Amino acid sequence: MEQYWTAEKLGNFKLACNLILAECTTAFRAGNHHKIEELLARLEQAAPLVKAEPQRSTYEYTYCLVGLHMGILLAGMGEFDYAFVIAHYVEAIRQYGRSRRQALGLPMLPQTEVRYTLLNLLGDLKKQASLEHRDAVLTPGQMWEEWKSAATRAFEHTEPLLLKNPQRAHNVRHAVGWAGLQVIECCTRFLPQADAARMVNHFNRRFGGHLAVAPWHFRDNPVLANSAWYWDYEIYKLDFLGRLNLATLEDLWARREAAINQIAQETDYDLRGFNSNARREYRVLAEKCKLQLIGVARAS
Amino acid sequence: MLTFHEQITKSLLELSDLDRQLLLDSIERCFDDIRRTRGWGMAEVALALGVHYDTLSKLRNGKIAKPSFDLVAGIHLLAEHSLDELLGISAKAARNGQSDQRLTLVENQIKGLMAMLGQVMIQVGIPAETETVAAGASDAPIPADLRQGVLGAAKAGSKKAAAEGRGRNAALRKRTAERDAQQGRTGRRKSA
Repeated sequence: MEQYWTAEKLGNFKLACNLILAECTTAFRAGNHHKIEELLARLEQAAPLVKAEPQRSTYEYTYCLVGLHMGILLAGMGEFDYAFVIAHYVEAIRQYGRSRRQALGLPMLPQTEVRYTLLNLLGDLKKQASLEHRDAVLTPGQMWEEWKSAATRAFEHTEPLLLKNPQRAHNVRHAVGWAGLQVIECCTRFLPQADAARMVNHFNRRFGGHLAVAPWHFRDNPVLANSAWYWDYEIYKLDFLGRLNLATLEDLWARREAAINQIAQETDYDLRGFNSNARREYRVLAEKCKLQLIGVARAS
Repeated sequence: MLTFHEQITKSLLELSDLDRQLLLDSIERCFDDIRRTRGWGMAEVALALGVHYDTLSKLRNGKIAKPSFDLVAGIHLLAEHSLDELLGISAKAARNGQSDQRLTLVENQIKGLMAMLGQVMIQVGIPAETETVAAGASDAPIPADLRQGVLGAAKAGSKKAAAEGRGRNAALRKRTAERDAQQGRTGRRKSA
């Protein structure tokens, strides 16, 4: 399976798919959902032309990734239902591809980027959407197992890249870590606390200690790692417990931003995970805090 | 027998020093245009072409004696250049008497490639010699209902967000309106 990670030569087909993915990345960074819609339409037009392997698998992979980026943008605009539909169909396409390859006697493809991008989307959606979506597409437990497997694969793949192309390796690991954080936040909401603690420990072993299980960890520990993941999870825990107020939110959000800025100054990492949908998330959290304030005022 | 890519690559690269310099100049113009039109640096171009950043750097510095056809043509495609520049270089080399038959082949192949490009970029792919028809090849690569599921949700979600004043264009319009209001402008914006 290793050959599929190492940019196997597929001629111009691969080039065309890479061009589409690059345009998708640029459009995603700019929040341009119209452009991604256009790319999906372009892939749709090309569908009848793709009839052979390995082009079919490459096409599926490209289609899934472009679709998932659209889903993340839709989630950022509050269109959770449509984003869930996209996640559902992407998973169906993935399963279809697996069964097709199995029927042809071809090896399974790891599709790590599709997997962790799908988990990123699902985690982001489920931690915010209504409770009925708990088991949509994948259950929280399945999401965690999938993430563990995708993270193992991604770390194996990026190990040799750390010397040859460290920026690429760190970008992949960063994206995997971001997806893991979304999954952990989703599981914190839906699974028993003991499970969430186990997940946090696993994440910390993998990424070198970023998250803390206990709420209010930042208040009780004067020496803190300047990690954007850490601040993000601190904010989520307090929000989940209904203990987040506007002053705390502003303080923690500023620390999160400072951590992100520090990473941006010191490295060339792709920080789109942190920045995408962040503005909306902050606005929603701030509105919740204000509503709580109004509720408290009315009650008193 | 040489494959499609080997034939073109071999022909393209048997150029004189002068032609190689012309090729480098043409690539530089492509990079300028890619930066201007797409706002992409070398990192994005490397990502788009699936090559290492250092490969592009070496190519621009003339340190790659034999760049591949995929790389050279890919840069031209990204810059939305018509590949005429490549043809120009080839034609010049032909005039110098270095090669005639091979360069004619290159021209024909690139013209064929351009014709295939047409409206759908992905048509570039599917080089004939790598096409191994698999079982169920007459089917679309992904069942139509699954594709339509993704595309339909994308369109509907995008349309709904736009209608409700969310999304990129709405945000841009809102910022422009706010700026206009601050500057005391009203009514329709006039172009300069």
